[in-house]
Amino acid sequence: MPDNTYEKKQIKSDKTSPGIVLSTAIYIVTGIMILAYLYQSFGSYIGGN
Amino acid sequence: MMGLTWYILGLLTTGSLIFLWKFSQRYAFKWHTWSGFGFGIVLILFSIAWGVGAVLEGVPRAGSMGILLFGLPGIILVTVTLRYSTNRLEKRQVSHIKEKVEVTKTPPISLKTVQPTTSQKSGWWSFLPYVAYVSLVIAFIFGIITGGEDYESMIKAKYTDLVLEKIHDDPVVFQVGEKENGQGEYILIQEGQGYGGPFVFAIRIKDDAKIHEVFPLADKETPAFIKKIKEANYRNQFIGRSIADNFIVGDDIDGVSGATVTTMAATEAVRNGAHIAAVEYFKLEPSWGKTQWKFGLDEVLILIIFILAFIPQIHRTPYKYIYMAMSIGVVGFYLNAAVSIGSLSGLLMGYIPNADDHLIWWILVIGTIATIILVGKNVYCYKICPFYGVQFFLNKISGNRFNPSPALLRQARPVANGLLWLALMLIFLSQLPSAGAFEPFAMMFSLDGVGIQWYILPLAIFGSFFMSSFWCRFFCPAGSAFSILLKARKKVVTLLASK
Repeated sequence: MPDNTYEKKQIKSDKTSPGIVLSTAIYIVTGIMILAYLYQSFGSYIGGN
Repeated sequence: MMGLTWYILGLLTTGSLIFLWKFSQRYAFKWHTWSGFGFGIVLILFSIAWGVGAVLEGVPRAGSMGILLFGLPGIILVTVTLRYSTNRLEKRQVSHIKEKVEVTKTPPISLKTVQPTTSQKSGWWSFLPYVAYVSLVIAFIFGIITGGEDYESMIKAKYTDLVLEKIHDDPVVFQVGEKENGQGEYILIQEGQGYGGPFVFAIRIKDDAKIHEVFPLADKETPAFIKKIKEANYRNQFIGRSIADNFIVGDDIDGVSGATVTTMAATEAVRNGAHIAAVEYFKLEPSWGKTQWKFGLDEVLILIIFILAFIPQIHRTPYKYIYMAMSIGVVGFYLNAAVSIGSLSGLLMGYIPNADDHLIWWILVIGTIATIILVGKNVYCYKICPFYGVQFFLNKISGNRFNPSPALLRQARPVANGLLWLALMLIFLSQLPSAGAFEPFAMMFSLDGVGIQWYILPLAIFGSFFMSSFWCRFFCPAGSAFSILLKARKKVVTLLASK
């Protein structure tokens, strides 16, 4: 039976690597935007607007 | 800044052309593959230029809408073309490898499978939830003590040219000047209960027993809804009306589409004020119609959706597609009644709307909480929630099951709980449920929002395209609150069972 472990790994890494980078970027930016929204709300509350 | 954008767009265009050239050498492109990639890439680049341009011009709403309208179809087009072309190649050339890969393919990592590390469970970390609960209680008490607006001063500041005499405390009533011919002029402060909290109005009634002015003193509703009723000139319909009118939405008062609950809360405030004045100060017989239990088509539809959530067969293919489409259509776009952290925190603060006017709120909010407490099941998340439905269909189209890096994934649940804590702290301190409600539901289904919310919505949509249940798993504060309630219920049940 031919050993195609390397090929499998290659295909898996080709498929997931850009996905992980993209997903991590979207996750972090969304989290930052939510924090920014809460900060803005807190600013409005402190400012009395 | 715009120069930098054009520079980046130039780089992206060049990168896209190189990608197409390399890809076309590896795969046999046909005319539809070229069209799909070409049109999709143009749409994405156009949406970036649109979005940045609009934000720089200070109109984030236009930016967000542009990104959603052009960028999302662009990404869908590129992804579908990519899947189509790569699947064909895999079928043609590497079918034996694909079979092997499918055998060894592991399911996507979910939060359920990621266990906290030992260090998270032990030491000071284990005290963190208790610190969070205590701080929330302190914020809640602090908010109540320092909250409460001085409506009387607001009235006096508005009418500096009038002589105002306070003649009643609860509700607050001012008499304007002296009475003439037995009839006087009055200003009443009244409130109606919305989803986010009370809507407080001042109602000015002159000696002809007609309303002459209605103006808001305070509200705790979602800003997008307030914006809608302002734009619809909703308040103007009260001017010149007799205080003995019915003041019922759908009867003699026009509701505002997309802000029905806010309209009903505001109308309730005016109705209460007008009718109190009619009976107490104008000595009129109550001839107006009473508000009936509102049980029409909207309530029936919500009830059906809620009951169907309990039937397991409905949540299997193909019925689950129909159910989710119903939820998106009815709970989302038609009624815009998705449960948010604003509704849940409003409940904690005692802002409970009347069941006769707001049966939909009772079914969705009280129904979900009661089901968690009594049955131990969360029927809202991943079933009734229309935003989950939107995410599900988007992810189905893309076929992507990506996840953030495992290191981030391990922290996903604490991050979601941390955001819930931040939102609740802000809500309790300000006594304003809408202040911490960062969910993009309301704006998604009403296409109206304020400020930074316009950036959160496209991110949530794009995230869902690449990750399954992106918002639900990683950020939803209402979902986190339901999970905490469910866990607490399980602990209590276990404790009771052990005794």
